[in-house]
Amino acid sequence: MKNPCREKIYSNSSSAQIRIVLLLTFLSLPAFASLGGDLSSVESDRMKIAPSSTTSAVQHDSCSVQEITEASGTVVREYLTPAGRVFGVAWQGPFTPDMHQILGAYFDRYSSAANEARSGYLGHRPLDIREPNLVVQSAGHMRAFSGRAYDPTLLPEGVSPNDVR
Amino acid sequence: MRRVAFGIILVSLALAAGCGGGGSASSKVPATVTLTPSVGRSINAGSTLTINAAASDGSLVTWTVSGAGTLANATQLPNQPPNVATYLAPSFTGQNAYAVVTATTASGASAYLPLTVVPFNVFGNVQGVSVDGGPSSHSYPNAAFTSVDVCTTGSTNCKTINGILVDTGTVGLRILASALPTLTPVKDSSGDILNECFQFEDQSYIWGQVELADVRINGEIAASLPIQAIADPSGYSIPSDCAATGTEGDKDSLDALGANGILGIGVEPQDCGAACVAAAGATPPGAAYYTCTGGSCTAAFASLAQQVNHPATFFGIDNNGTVLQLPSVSGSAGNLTGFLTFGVGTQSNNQIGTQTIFTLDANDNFTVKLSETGQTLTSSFLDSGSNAFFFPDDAITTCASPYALFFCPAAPISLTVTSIGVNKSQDTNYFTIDNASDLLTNNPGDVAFSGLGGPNGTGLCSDGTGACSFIFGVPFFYGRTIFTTVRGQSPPINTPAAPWWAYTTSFPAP
Repeated sequence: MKNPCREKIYSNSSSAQIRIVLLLTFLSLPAFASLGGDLSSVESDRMKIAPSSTTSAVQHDSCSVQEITEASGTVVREYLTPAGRVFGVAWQGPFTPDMHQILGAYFDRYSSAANEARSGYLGHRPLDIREPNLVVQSAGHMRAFSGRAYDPTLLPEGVSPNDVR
Repeated sequence: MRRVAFGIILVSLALAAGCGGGGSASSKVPATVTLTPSVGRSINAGSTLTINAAASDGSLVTWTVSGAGTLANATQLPNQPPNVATYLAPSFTGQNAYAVVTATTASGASAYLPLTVVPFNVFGNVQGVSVDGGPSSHSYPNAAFTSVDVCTTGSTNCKTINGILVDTGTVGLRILASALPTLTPVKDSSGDILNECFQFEDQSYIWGQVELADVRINGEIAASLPIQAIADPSGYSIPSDCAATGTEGDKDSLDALGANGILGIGVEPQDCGAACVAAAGATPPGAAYYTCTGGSCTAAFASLAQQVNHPATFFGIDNNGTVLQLPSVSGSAGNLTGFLTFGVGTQSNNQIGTQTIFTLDANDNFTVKLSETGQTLTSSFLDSGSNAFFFPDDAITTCASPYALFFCPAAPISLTVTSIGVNKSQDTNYFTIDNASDLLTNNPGDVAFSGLGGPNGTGLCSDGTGACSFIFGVPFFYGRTIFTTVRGQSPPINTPAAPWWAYTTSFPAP
């Protein structure tokens, strides 16, 4: 299944032009938003999480993706609605990104769900939180972590949970 | 060799600082002492070992020994050349005995050689492990525990610490600080003590100082090994990029960790590696090493030598990997005993035969094809620190609390799992996933369960991103002898470069 948020990167030359334009836009207005947050309102936050990061972005009718490479090498991908609201975040790399930053207003709910899920039994295992308004999955091992978080109620039409990756 | 030199320099610098200095403008390079043999080792009871010392300023050394055994040196033996000592191991008294031989110059430079006296005809590279629920008040299922002896560097001031989780999924020794003897903290280039945040995949974490210890496991010795002393920072709060799920994710106690510590014997030589080493223009990664000064803990760089290192890579001979052997389990079982053997192909008890070898990618993963879902899981790995098989399969029902994060299928589910190494080697195994809630509640006295499984993400991984992994947790280790080799270490002859793993279902006890 193709990712509707990524498709435009490779599909044709006109989209490549769109990508270049958006790249310039995002490089001049670097931004990092939390889940549920509004991209335009938090343009300065990127400096807090990744002062030496690079960003790139592509856009599609139903969603756009902003990619940030943190100083640690971890790549964070933010999925935005056409209105610029973050509906999903995915990450992959040697370290887990700052979850407070990633989840914003969702953090407390995530924290209590994660702690309850872990409390049942001793041991380390992948985290899989599935609530009506918040899904968080975290996996991997030392030096190679991955995960994603999204709000199922914010997914744009035509976008599936599996597109957040 | 490099590590030993590092340790020796630390000793002489510390001694120089202790002398007070007093602002001498002509900075003299402190003398260093080098011993041969240079790496701590076992010695058979009743035998002798000749030790040579070389001081960088050419001066003579004075020999001392603490612990078991005695020394004959230049003073005692007129015919012996200078800077040579002969260590005489005592006869065996029923248990291993520890000794530290130290050579010191008149200016105070010194070096030490730790020794462990072991009986004849017994392998010093084998340590017993047990699947027994662990040391905490809650049973820890499908977890292998062992013990280690941790000593103040250069001394025989040691503590035996039991209930240490054997974890092939992480690297380095991490022990509750409350269980440790007094150790020397590791400091960064600014002279500040290095702390570490070590995160797990469930976003729980361990915090603690990096400290040097002489770690002894049966006849093996890792001298001046950086380990993590688990304890919250005194007077500081843990940074938010570490506390990924809030402070409740802090595994800073026996009950939270389910163990007194973790013996990480994975496939990397350090826990962080190059990502934590200072580079021009770079900033240190979050959720790794920190220094705590001026009111807050902030991310810091740590050199490879300062990072928490793989204990086995500090051993003299058996330093290229490990062999973990657990008995087979069908359904559920009570306490089990097994073996952790250090080295692969370094002794007659850890030789690899014609087993299929699976080499790993840059992220220490290999590929699994899971027939039941048709998925190709390109980030799969072995992990004795995971107590179940974890894989993505939305069709299998997950359990209700308190067994959330495990599978609870209505009937047992069969899996056909094909492992594929980077070197294209292949092997197919068949596993059964049982109902975790039934297994755990119907067998309250048992600690080993062959059919534990759990979810690992739901996303597709056809593009290689996301949680794309089949985790071979402890159930895979039951009934198998599993060899793993460490990146950068010398593999056995006629085998690929490390890291890789291999297994056999027929292997004698070591």
